[in-house]
Amino acid sequence: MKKLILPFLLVTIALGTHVTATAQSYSLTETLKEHMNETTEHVKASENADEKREILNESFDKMMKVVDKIETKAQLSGDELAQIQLLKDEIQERSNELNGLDGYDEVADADLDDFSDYSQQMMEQANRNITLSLTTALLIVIILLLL
Amino acid sequence: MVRSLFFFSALTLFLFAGCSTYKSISSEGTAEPDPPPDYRVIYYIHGDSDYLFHDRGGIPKQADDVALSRALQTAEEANSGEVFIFHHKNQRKWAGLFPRRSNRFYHFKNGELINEIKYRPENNDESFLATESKLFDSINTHSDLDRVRNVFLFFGHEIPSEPATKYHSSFPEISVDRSSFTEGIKHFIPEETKYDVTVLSSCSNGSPEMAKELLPVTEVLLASPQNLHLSHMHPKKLSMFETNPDAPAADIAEAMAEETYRELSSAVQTVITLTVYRMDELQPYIKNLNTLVTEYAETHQINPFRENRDCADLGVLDGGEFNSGIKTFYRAPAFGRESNKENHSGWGCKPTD
Repeated sequence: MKKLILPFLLVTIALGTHVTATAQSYSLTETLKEHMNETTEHVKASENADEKREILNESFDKMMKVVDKIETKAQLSGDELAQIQLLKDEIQERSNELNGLDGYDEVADADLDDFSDYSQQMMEQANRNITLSLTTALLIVIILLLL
Repeated sequence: MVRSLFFFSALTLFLFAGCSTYKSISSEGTAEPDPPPDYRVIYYIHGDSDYLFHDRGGIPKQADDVALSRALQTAEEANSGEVFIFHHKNQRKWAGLFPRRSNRFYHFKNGELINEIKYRPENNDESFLATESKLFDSINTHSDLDRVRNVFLFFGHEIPSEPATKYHSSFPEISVDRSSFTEGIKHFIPEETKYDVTVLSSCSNGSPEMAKELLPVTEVLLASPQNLHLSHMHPKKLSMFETNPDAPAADIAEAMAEETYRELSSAVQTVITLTVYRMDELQPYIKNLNTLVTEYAETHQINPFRENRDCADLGVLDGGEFNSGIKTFYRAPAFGRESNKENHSGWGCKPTD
């Protein structure tokens, strides 16, 4: 029986390493897609146009805060920083269109559900995959849930 | 002592078995070569990245799984064809140490699943599609394939112009770009032959550069000059190989584009651009067009990460006529700065910042 202890320990350590390694990598893009999906569901569930606008504006603000934090806190490659900048530009563009800024006409009340779908689809079809460490991922969760 | 020896022998055997890059799940093949099929369809579905999306009911889905499901359905309906499906997924490891064979290869003949094989890339820095090519060779029993019609379908993120880092999340050192893609897909057809149709179900690959690259390899190209939502070119119309075996390659590609356009029109608010390129008609001008694209890139600060725009809107096409051999299925986005744009040249170019 004692002879089996060493192999057992090795397997346990290996499994522990696997769990840790898995837990250390989080996808920023997936997290934001899930957040945008929740936003779209809330927008469609609301009957009130002002409330729909508020939900969308709040969501864009939170995502912008997340991306700003990641840009300064996370250790990203040059390519990832370029993708982050594009993500910021896109969020700002959606916000401008929603509110009729920067040459856009304000999105009509009747079109807010479709605009929410559009914003989600733009985010989901983009060619991006940015992964983050556990610490940075926790920061995102705090911003998205609590602020 | 005997028990320990037995344990370590078993462990060693397990490790060696795990080192093999292929493992057959099922095989119905015979040693005798079959007569060549009427046509062959090769799918490469990339899932080794972020492909999460949500349907209109908010249900999370993986785009590569949806593409695989459709590919399997077309394979089962290919009664006189042969279908090869490679699904490249995120690499997983046993106990965090031993790489698993996470990828799947499905091989159908006449609508029947003949082989299903688990595999993983042999080397972390191998050429794109190298392992897939070896697998393909290992089960290919035909020799007289010169007259067989061939289709290649790629599902994934944009194939980049330059070798991209981390195209595969699990195998970042496997270089993926236009050149390695073209070299990779050549392997699945006999030398000196071309694909009837190549379908790129990816964003932004309907570009002059990609058309020039694929010109020697395919008769017809179906691709999207701009973003293609969820990378979902619909393969349903491959059934034309069954119902109308002599249909011209361009007709099959146009039918696929129409089907995809119809489905996307009812599902998305974003732009739809699907273009069918008849390569022989591009031949007279594709070199000149590429020169213009190169000059634009050199004189402007283009951003390779930005989504494509219509080359015509960037002024790239001002130097000539570049619409022969092109049919585009276009619908403007419901929102955004191009919501009033009425038509599309069918050519996508990278814009500046």
